[in-house]
This record gives sequence, structure tokens and C-alpha cells, in this order.
Amino acid sequence: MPEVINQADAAPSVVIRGLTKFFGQLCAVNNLFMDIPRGSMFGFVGPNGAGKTTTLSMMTGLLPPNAGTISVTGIDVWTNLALVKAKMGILPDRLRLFDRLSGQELLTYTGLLRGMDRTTVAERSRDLLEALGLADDARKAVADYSAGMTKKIGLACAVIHAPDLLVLDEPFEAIDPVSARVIADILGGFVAGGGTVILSSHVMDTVQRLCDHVAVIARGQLLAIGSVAEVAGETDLESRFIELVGGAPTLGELSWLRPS
Amino acid sequence: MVATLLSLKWRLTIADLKRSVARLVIFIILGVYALGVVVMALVGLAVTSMVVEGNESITGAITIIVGATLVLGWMILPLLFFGTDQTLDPARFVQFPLTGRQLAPGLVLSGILGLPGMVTAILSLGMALPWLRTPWVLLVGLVGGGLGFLMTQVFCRLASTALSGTLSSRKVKDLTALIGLVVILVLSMAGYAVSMVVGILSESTGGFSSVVSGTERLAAGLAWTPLGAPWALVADAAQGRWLVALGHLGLTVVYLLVGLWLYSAVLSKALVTPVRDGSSTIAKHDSIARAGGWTWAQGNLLPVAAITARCLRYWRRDPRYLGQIPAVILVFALFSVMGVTMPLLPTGDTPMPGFLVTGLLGFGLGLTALMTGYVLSADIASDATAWWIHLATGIKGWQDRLGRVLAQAVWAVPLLLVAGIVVPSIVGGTARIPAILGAIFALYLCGIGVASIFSALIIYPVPLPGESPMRMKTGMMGSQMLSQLGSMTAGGLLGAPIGIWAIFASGVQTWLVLIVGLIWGGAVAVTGIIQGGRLMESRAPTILQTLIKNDSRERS
Repeated sequence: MPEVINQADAAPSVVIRGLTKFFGQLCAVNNLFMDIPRGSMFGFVGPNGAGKTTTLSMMTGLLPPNAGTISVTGIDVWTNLALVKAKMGILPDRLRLFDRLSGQELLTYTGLLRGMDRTTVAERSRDLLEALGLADDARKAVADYSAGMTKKIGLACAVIHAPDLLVLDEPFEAIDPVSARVIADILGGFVAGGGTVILSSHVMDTVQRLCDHVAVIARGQLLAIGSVAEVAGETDLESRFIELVGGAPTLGELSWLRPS
Repeated sequence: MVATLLSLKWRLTIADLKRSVARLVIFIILGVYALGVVVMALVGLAVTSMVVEGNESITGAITIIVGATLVLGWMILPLLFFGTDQTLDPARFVQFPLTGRQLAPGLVLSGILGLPGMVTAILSLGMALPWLRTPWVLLVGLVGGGLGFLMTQVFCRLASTALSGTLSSRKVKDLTALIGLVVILVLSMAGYAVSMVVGILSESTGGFSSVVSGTERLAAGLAWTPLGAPWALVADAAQGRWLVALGHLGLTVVYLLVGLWLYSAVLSKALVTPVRDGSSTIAKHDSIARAGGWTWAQGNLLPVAAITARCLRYWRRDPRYLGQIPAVILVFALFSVMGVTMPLLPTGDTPMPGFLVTGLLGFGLGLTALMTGYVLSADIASDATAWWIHLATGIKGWQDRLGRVLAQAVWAVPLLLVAGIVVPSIVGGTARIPAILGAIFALYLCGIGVASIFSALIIYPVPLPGESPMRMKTGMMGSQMLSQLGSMTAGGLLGAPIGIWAIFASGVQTWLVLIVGLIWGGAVAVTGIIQGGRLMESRAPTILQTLIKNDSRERS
């Protein structure tokens, strides 16, 4: 559906201006300018080490930038951390969870830290565990969860306070197709209700299928941004991505790799 | 295959050291330390050769016992604490078409390319040094030492691989880690206990000679087991029992071959059995939600209650937390037992001075109180990167601090209360109990206040969730010592006035000490929680980056 482009350019949910982050000598994010439309399912793609996680961390108040500003629904993130954090739900990649707690307890914990009352926390965690297919394992320690289940409980923690904006780092990694469909449906409903989702991934198929907008980043720099149709152009997103990022080296002839 | 595995181990070790300067520095420091220990041990052993004549029997017996301890140590210690060196984990060879038999010899020998292996190898050979004056015996000793070293490596590998399936389950791992901790704590007191028992025994019974004959009998028994056989060679040779020596040699070779065969069999099995992680169902009821029940106010205090409930779960279930409690109890027990038993020690004519006993007990109580408060300073580091959720939810710093303090108080307050009442009661100081409690709680609360600030300031690497609590972390020593020294000194100084007052107070004043101590300590604790909270808020992203660094350092 190429028509959905630019529906909400007037009121961007996230505005990034001149965002820069150095780790020592290494420039992880280089002068990034980006608008993320409100009500969009926004894909953030790039090869490994492109600066995706760094950008998302700065956006969510976990990592201070060296330069530049980020605002979420018009509020500057780094001067109004508490306010912005309350509006945002996040799923970081590769960070631990308090895994001695059961799934149910972790969810309750997150809700209570968010300042929610116990009744609401109890209701919503029941709904979430049910919806994500974790109800049977709700009393099991998160340490004993599979990778996919851990992702799902992390997602549940991200949404329990009904945020306006969801920032998800690799939400579909290690997720089986059935769970992926469940998560996609939940996110779809969230966006349809006016929420904004930013998700990073390096699986182009997923992004093409789920997202309406996409940004491509490599070596800390923005290479393309727009609706999925705009960025993909004539070809599919994956081909375009490889073209943008600089493609794989052409393979030499591995003549011995022919079993017959 | 042996050469391939050895060179692989060598490359991996070198690559690991190259990864960070800190790691290299620590390795060098450990290396120098090990070298020092080895040289001193070797010199000591060589010096023994001067007095060995006429004492062949007991020297041989000691060699056997020390050697057997070495083998046993290699079997048990890695299981309890360090885990075996995972550089050449059998699981990493699963995808190669290799059998256990092909891998076993190389894996066994690769141990020599690590610091503990090298030290053990040198010491094993060094145990021949007392026989410097008799070349033949020396030669036999070197052969026995070499075989003894092989024995340590074969049986270490055998034990850890055979049990690796069972030990990979999280609950069993937690349990063994905890048992290990208790064992080492008990052992560290054992020296004192043994010296007391020996002292009392040698006075009452046959004296020194009975200890000697006991040692020799124990050694003679051990000599026929895999633990003692290789070390018995030299003992036999020294006493001219060449035929027995030959028997022990044969036995050693048999034990080694059987051990190696068993190891290859276990290894072959390990290569086709995927490691399962034990799963367990916990928590019949949601204790996090229930913990909200006692709060008298919603809003600000509910997050605190949640953190308290979560920390309590960790104090109960995570050996890294749980293990700190025996450590504190040990310090307390050590000083108390020493103080209480001191008057019983035979001192001849001069009686034990009373102030020594009081001083020892008082110092022990004070240190226990301070340590109990200090324990909190590893809290954020123990959360590891899971702490991001505190950051992402935007809770206040003081809520984070207070939640942890309250959870720890659940076990700390009763412990200190009991200690402060029981110890004075035993030594007949009942009248001073209020003052002593005042000093203890002042020190404890000062410790809390200081730890609440320091833990936001210095995040030192601690074992990660699921790791053994005894595992040493790279870079742990420097920053931990800084934090420990800083907060213990600061807490001690802040609490000292109350402590000194408690020593001299009597009568009604003792109650005054209690009241003032609680108020003063409370003020320090509250200040620490508020200031530490502010510090945590302003440093939060930095703290998270440190936690991420500590976490990823151990991932390969």
C-alpha cells in the first residue's frame, strides 16, 4: 500500500537533530538528522555495528549524546528525562533482565517501578501473559526461559504502562514464526490506535512486511529515509539495502565447493 | 591431536591476554605472585634436605599427604568454585568428527599451559627436592612428581566432565556454589580449631609422638589410593623399600590409564549429549505483588516496596547475595569464638589480660556491623545490565537506594540484634547491652549511608548472574579494594565516636548511647540514601555503560 506515505509528516513523534556519539576515537553516530512520523511503524535498519543500538539508546535516555538533540512528542529527551521515560516503552537488545524473578513477577516489578497501582498491574500482566502465550510459564524463573520467551516477556515489560512510543531493539530476533505473528499483531494494533513503534532489525523481509517507514544507517550515517516504498524504489528492500550499504564482495569461484 | 590442542590452548590464552591491558597487568601480577610462592616453596623444600636424614619416614609421609591433597584439590576446588578452565570446553568440539579418545590426552595436558597447572607442575617436581643429597631418590622423586602432576590433571578433568551434566542445571550450580562457600569458610576457621585441639591433646595425651605416628598411618593408607600412589614412590625409595616402590609405580600407571580411559569414555558421552539447562518452577505466589500489601501509601513508596521485594528474592535465591551472609557471620564468629575461648588457652603463669578479650569481642562486633552495612555496595554491580529497567522506568535514586537497604535490613537487623545481646551475655557484660547495641547500630547505619553513596560512585566487576560467587573477575581487585577501603574507613570514622562512648559508658548512660547512636546513625543513613540517590540519578547512564562493559567483557 504505497498510499500510506507521509500521512503524518506534520506531527513527527521523534525529531533528531545533529545527533553525534563518540566512543573514544570511534564515531558511532555521526551528525544524524531524522524525523519519525507519529503513528508510524518505523523500521531502523543497518548492518552490524552501524550505530542502531547507540542511536536507540540515546533516544531512550540510556546513553547521553556528545552533540545534537532528540525530542519526543515535542519534549527534549535529555532535559526532561523523567517525563519522556514515562511516555516511552523500551526493549533493549543484549541487556539482562532480573531473571531470578518469574515472568509474572518481572512484569509486576516493572509496572510497580512505573508507579502504577497494583490492581492495574495485575490486570494488565494477566492480559499480556495471555496474549503473548506465556500464561503457562508465568511462574517460571525468567532465567529458565528460552531466548524467544525472554524477548516476549521483555516486550510485555515495555508495554505494561501503555506508552505512546515503543522503541524496540531487534524485537524479532530468536522469535519463532508463531510468536512473531502474535507480536506483529500486537504492534499493528498499537500503531492503529495512534501509537508509534520504532524497531531495529537486520532482516529486511520483516521490515518490508511490517513497517510503513524505514531509515537505513551504516557506519553511523543516515543513508536513506522515507516510506518503505520510497526507499525500496523499483526493487525490494533487501536489494536496495545491499546497494546502499555497499554490497557483498563478489564471490571468487569456490570450485571445490561442489559436492557432486 | 595433542600438539594441535596444546597450540590451540596457547593461542587462546595469548589472545585473551591481548584483549585488554588490565587483563594482562592482572595476569602479570598473579604470575609474579605465583612465581614468588613457587620460589619460596622450592627454597623451603631444598632446605629440608639438610635435616631429612634420620627423618625419612615422616618426610615421606608428609610428601604423600601433601600430594594427595593436591590431587584432591584439583578434583574438588574447580567444581565448587572456579569451574574448570573453559578455554578448551569439550562442548566446543561437538561439531568436529572427533572421539573422546582422540581428545582426552590433549585436553589433559593442556592444563599445564595455565597458571595453576604450571605452578602445580613445578611444585610436584619440587617435592623431590628434600632428597637432594641422594641422587637416586631424587630421580625417583622427580618421576613420582611428574606422575603425580598427571594424576592431578586426569582426575580434575574426569571429575568435572563426569559431573558437568548435573552441574549445568542452574539450581545444582547455585547449590554447589553455596556449599563451596560454606566449606571454605569452615576451613578458614579450621586452622584455629586444629591448633587448639592439637594444643589441648598434646598436653593431655601422649604428646607430639602420637601426632607423628598418626600422620604416618594416614600416609601409608593413602599410598595405595590414586591420590597418594605417585607420591609414595619417593617415600619408599628413601627408606630403601625398592620393591614396594615398584608396586606403587605399577599402581600409579594403572590408576592413570584407568583414569584416562574413564575420562575418554565420559568425554565421548559428553560430546553427544547436549547440555541441558535444568528448568524449575518457582514461586507459588507472586511475592513481588504481595509485597505491595504492607505499604501504607501508594505512589512513591510502591516502587520502593517492589525493589525491596525483588532484592529479598535475590537475597534468598542468588548465591552471590546469599554467600555474603555467611561471610559476615564468619567474621563475627571468628572474633567471638577467639574472644570467648581465649581465657581457656593454657598461658602458663601469666593470666590472660581482660582488656584483650573485651577488645577482641568489641572489635569483632564493630567490624561485623560495619561489614553488614558495607555489603550493600555491590548491589548495583550484582544487578548487572538488568539494572537498565531502573533507569528506563525513571525511578528516583533514593527509591533505588532505600529499597535495597530495607531488603538487606530484613536479615541484618535480627543478626546484629542477636549478636549484640548474646556476646555480652556470655562474657558477663549484660549491663552494657544497650550501649553495645547503640554502637553496633550506629556503625551499621553509618555503613549503610556510606555504601549508598559509594555504590553509586564505584561500580566494580562482580560475578555475573548465574556465575559462581567465588569467581574472581578481571579488574575486580583494584576498584573493589578502593571501594571497600574507602567506605569501611568512612563508615568506621563516622561511627567511631559512638563506639568509643559505648566503651566508657555505664549505668543510665548506656541507654543514652543507644538513643544517640540510633539518631546519629539514622541521620547518616538518610543523608547517604538521599545524596547517593542524587549521585545515582546524575551518573545513571555512566553506570549503565560500566555495567555493559563488565558484562560483555566475559562474553566471547
